[in-house]
Amino acid sequence: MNEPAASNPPSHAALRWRLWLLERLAPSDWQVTLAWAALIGIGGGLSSILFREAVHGLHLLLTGSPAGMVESFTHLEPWRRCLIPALGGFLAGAILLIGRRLTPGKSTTDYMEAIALGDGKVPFRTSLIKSTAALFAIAAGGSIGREGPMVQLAAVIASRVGQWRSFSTPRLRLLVACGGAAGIASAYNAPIGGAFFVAEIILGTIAMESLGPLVVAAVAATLTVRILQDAHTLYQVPHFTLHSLWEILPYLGLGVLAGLVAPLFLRLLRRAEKLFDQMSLPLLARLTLGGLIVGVIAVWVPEVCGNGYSMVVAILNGNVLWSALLLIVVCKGLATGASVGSGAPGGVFTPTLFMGASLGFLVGSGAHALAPAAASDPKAFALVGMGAFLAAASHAPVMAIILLFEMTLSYDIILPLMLASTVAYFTARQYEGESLYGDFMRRREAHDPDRTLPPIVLSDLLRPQPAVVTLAAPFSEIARVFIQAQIDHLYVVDHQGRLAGVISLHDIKPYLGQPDLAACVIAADILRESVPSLNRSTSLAEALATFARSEFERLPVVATDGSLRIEGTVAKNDLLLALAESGATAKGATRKSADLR
Amino acid sequence: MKFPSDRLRMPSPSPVPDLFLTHINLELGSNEGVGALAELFSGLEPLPAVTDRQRLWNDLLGRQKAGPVAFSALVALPHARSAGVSEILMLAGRHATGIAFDAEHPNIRLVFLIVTPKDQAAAYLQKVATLARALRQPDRIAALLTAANGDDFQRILAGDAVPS
Repeated sequence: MNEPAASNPPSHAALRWRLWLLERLAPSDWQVTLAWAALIGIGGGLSSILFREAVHGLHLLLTGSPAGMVESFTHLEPWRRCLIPALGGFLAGAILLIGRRLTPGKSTTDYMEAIALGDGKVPFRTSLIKSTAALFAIAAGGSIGREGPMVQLAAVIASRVGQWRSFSTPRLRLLVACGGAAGIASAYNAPIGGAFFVAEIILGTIAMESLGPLVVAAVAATLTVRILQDAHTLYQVPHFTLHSLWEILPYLGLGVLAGLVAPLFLRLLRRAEKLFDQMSLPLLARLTLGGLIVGVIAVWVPEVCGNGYSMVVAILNGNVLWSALLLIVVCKGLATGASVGSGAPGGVFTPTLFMGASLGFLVGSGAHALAPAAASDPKAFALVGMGAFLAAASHAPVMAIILLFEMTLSYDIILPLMLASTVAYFTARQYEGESLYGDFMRRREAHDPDRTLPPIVLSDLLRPQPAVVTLAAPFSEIARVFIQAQIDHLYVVDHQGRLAGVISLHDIKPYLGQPDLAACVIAADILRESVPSLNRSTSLAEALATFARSEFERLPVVATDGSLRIEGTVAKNDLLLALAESGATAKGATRKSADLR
Repeated sequence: MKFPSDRLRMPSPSPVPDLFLTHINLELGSNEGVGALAELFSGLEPLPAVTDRQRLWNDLLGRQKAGPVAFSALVALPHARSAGVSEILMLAGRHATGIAFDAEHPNIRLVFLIVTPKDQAAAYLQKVATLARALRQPDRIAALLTAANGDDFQRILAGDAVPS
């Protein structure tokens, strides 16, 4: 008697174990996204460390001093103070020129644009060139922040990883946003602020679908920096106490003043950019001139060099006289205008913090002189001024409050900080519709409106080439594909590739270890024919309704010609992410319209 | 959390209460696959669960063409899911010398025909798996080949009278 092949105990035990592991350990799409966010965070942290070290090394090479930017320039001969920033501008320009030849064609490298307006693709080579140029401009004492290239590098890593993994557009954008959060978090040692910076300013939403991965990326980046470097709270500040309720009044005044001055600072930067545009200088000459202006100012006021970090620390610790600061802040504003206006690649975040600290300290000193009881410590005003100025300039008060709190870990200051930041934000919005970043995005759109992509459609969410079997596939093949592809539902197609149905892992799970069935059961015997499907013309709302009516986490997308040829699948979480994005975009558009009115 | 082998352990092979046969023909005459199938299929005709006889027959033949149904050298499990039937039905037939189901299975002695409504894929798979489990025992096959009548055949299949 010829009986069916006897079962092979070891292979069945292995199959059971694999299935058991698959069921319990197979991550959901969200868990996979969080895992990638963590990896992006680590990558962002590493790239930030690399960039920071490169700045230190190049700065040492150019100035011969391992000290901070302001200290180095203070000890340099005047002619070197003047020429080194100019040389940095020249080298940055040269690198950008070479980069233009290596990467012909107009392409934006801006990660904000890639997230908010684009498809999440950040050009790799162009970003590296821009970051290298920024390295020279920053290390040579340019009055710009180093956080810009740090974020850019983290974002480009994220974009490359997402493209390598063929992520859908919303997920790729989210991953680039994670890179941005990782860059900010590692630059300022502030994971919460990093996550909220991207959520509030770029994505315009704090929905958990996007905020969760941002937080994971920011935490991973911060931990990476803390483990590999001796990272500490960015601004070590003395203990501040609110001595009297009357102190709230000058803080309120500081909020209003920050809301008025921050737009002026933004206008100064725009004006400087226009002036450089009007000169119509070649790129090399333009950047060299920008550096030279910084250098000339630095001959008398070396404090203008760098991003302003050391000056902020000095202000917060009371090591600067208000009269000296008055001169420094004016010169710093001009120097930042020269650097930013000339197009030196870098960030304006830290210079903005410097302006806020200076304004706060000056207001605090003035209030203290007038009524000592109402402003007992001008240094506390400097701290509050940083948050208020940042809130007014960025139009992101929540991020400003959180970031300031994280950068100083001073809880006592939180009440006046919240109050002044909120007042500053509303005051600035009253007088200036555009923020530090919103302005930039709008000008980008105006320059190149074609870069504004149409809203997400179902095709953008398509994941091609899903695992399928044919109607005649034997049970053994079905089991193998389920195990290999780690899926819950397997699509069945006919000989023309048309969707015939779906096999549920739940249905066949109890029988996966039964070899008898391999002889006589095929896919056609066990498929469910009533599987809902989508096509490329299905709207996101219709797709959501279809998901709501079904039990599936993914649905097949079939050809629009009615042939039922399967083209791919759409995951429910990708759809939810896209809907969250479109909701945020709609809110952003509404807000912009309101601002314009 | 259950250990995987507990979770995935198959039901005990005997007794098998859900292996109820709607119809048994111990004297199939045709020694060719489709002919034997037609003989067995005739046992479905009077049943009210068969709502569309022609469709059911077509689906059965379509499934025969789509893939193998032989379980072993001696046993075949022709089956089909069809809109022509409203509940799962199982029939059995026996041939005295052997049916040529296909080139690889020229000597099939026992035929179990299973028909299932379209929407009962999981129940159908359970039925096939249970039957396959029952037919894994050589003694049971031998007893089915020598069962004196339909009642004995049913009892042997269900595990109530497996010879020692």
